[in-house]
Amino acid sequence: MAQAAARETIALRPAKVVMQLERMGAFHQTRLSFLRALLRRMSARKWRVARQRFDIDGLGVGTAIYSVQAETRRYSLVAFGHQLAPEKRTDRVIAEEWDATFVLCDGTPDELALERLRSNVPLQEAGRYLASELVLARANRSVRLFDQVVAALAAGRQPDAAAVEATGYLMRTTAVYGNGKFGIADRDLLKDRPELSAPFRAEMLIVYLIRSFTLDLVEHLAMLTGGKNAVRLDPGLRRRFGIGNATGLGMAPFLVKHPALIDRWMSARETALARVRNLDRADGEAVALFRTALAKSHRLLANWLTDDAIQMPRIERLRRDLVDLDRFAGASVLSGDRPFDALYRFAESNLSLEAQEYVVTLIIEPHGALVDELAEHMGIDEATCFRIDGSMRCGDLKALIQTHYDFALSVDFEKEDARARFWYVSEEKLEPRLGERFKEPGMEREQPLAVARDIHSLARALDEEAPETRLAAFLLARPEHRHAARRVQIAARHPYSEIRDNLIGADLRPIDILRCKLAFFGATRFDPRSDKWLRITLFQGAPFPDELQGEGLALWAYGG
Amino acid sequence: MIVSLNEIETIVLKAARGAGMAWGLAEEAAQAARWLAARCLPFEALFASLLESEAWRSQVRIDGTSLSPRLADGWLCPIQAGAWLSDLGDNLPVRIERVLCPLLLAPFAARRKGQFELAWEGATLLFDVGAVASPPQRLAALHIARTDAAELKPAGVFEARRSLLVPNKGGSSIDVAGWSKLQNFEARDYVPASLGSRLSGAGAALSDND
Repeated sequence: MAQAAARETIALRPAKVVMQLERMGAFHQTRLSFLRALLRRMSARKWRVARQRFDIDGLGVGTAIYSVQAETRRYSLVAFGHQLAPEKRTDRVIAEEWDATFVLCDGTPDELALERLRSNVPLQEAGRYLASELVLARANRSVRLFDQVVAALAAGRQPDAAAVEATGYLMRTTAVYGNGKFGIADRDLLKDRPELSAPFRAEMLIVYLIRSFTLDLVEHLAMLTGGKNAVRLDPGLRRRFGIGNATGLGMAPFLVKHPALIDRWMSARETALARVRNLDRADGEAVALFRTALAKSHRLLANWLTDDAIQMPRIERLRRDLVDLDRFAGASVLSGDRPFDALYRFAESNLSLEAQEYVVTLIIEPHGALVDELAEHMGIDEATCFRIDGSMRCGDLKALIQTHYDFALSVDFEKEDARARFWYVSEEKLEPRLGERFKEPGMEREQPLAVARDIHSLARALDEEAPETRLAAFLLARPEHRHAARRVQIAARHPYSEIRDNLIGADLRPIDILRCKLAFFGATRFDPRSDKWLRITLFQGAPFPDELQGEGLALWAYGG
Repeated sequence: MIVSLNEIETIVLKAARGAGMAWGLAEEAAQAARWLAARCLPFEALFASLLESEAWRSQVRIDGTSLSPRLADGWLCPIQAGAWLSDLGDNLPVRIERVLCPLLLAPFAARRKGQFELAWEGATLLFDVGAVASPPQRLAALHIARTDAAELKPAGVFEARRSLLVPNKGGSSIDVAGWSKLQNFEARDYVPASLGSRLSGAGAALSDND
């Protein structure tokens, strides 16, 4: 009997490895990331994007409309350009004016609808919207690069490629609102539309369209300034513009509030990794793609810069680690047995977390046929996970806690450091914030994100309860444990549902939560501006809508 | 004003918490509101009056599958009772005595499998594999403020069912008075800014202009 048949399948990495914030904060985009899945769908189903209107003056003020024929439905991006005083240009969510504001809506807005949008969209969260509007967004110019690009094109030359690479975008979105905010369509209205039902698909679409708008805008402004001297961007250089995004704590609670959904995301990624590691042999095409992606990565990572004192050394180490990977990934490894597992194990034993997770990205990359369908299963109807099974006995719930929440039970919450922070919602902007429990007021209004502490407290309460008591009776008497009990039951069925760290500890780095979520979006060039907010780039290198049918779809995420 | 289901879920979650409900019950309240709004049933006045009552603080007594307030003149909270009803599984019959806003029990009953009815004085709802119907009856009885007993029992036979499933096509027109009461409760969840929190809470102190 052949030896290979008897050997064990490599299992998915366990949650206790994957769901550590330190590792989650080292994730990179993969081919399962949401924006990449969007572009694959747009390409495969031949979505058509057209510029329907572009009434913008020399200051960038006016209206533009792009239509998207997405399979059976039509959508429109409506963009409003504004004149913004420099002192009002801020990435923070407290801003009230922006260089441009956007809405993605169903169908094609008529003049009446356009008037309504024009009096609401520029106000963003201060406006009101209808269910025919799907996503709301705004963006600010990267002033230096924007003006430089317009000036160069107007004068008939291409902008400096190094400057383009250094910034990577012309505009930066500062908020993208979906799922029913301010009256726009609830997610339930999209879940039966196959083209938009994947997680954050509509949000990715608006950002992709905004990118096209920003490039059309600079070429248009250059034309207005330079007249017949003006030139358009060289197509190769054009692709090097992504879209920026500035993201703060506002998106952090999402990963905690949607445990079953996060499990789907993580499971898809880990399943992809396990499938690739289990391959007995690498085929020639996969090896070639892997080598090209790795080679391109050296150049790509050379352009990943940040002023952050923690992230920059990590990037430098990642660059060195990839050189080591290059050296290890010789012909004998890649033509050997389980070659991608060998690469992964090399990374696990020798490289930094940043590099280990980069290797995950790299080895998944050549295997679209094996993994791409996983991207279609990254959503879940969370209502199906909501109901508590009250027939469970308290002793069984306690056992589940011992199995799945050792990370919570091991924390000593008597120590102030273990509960130094608290999550709250600010009255000023209705946005999530992280406070210092023992220094700032407001802890009595804490949000339920202190998972480890609350599970710990549930476990103690269960200690005092007879093990055979039904959960229904226990929770009726002790409703303060209800949210934690629900999480435990979800965790029992969804292994990757919980971040295995203390989210109120003194040493929490919220940016790790943001990084993980943004990697699932498909973000690159994480640029922390503190431990609570960062800038990123989306769609840098991506083909434009009219290029989606060409050759350029493979490896675009690894740079030119 | 037209609001989305997510806005309804969010405001009821925060308002219930702001009024003092435990987080897990506030989550139940939010799902219940969403269920009602998705069927074009009113929820805002019911929740506003429930949150004012603070009935979830009542002591309760369980007797088999029957729930009642411990004090003879007490009233039960339909979210607390509904959550228990949901937790019980699919057992029948269930009796809930002296409960406020009994329509708020419907979303919890709807999670159960099988065919059964939920009835209180003057109102009956038939549940049949997720669908909900009612015989012609006074709408006022559905929205009654309190009832001595609500019962969940095997379904009787209805003549002339009227489906309660008027699907929400996106956006609910809300009663502004009820909604603003919910907003008042919601505001109790928020922490006012201090100078320190403005700088540290969101972590932005660097220039954004580049």
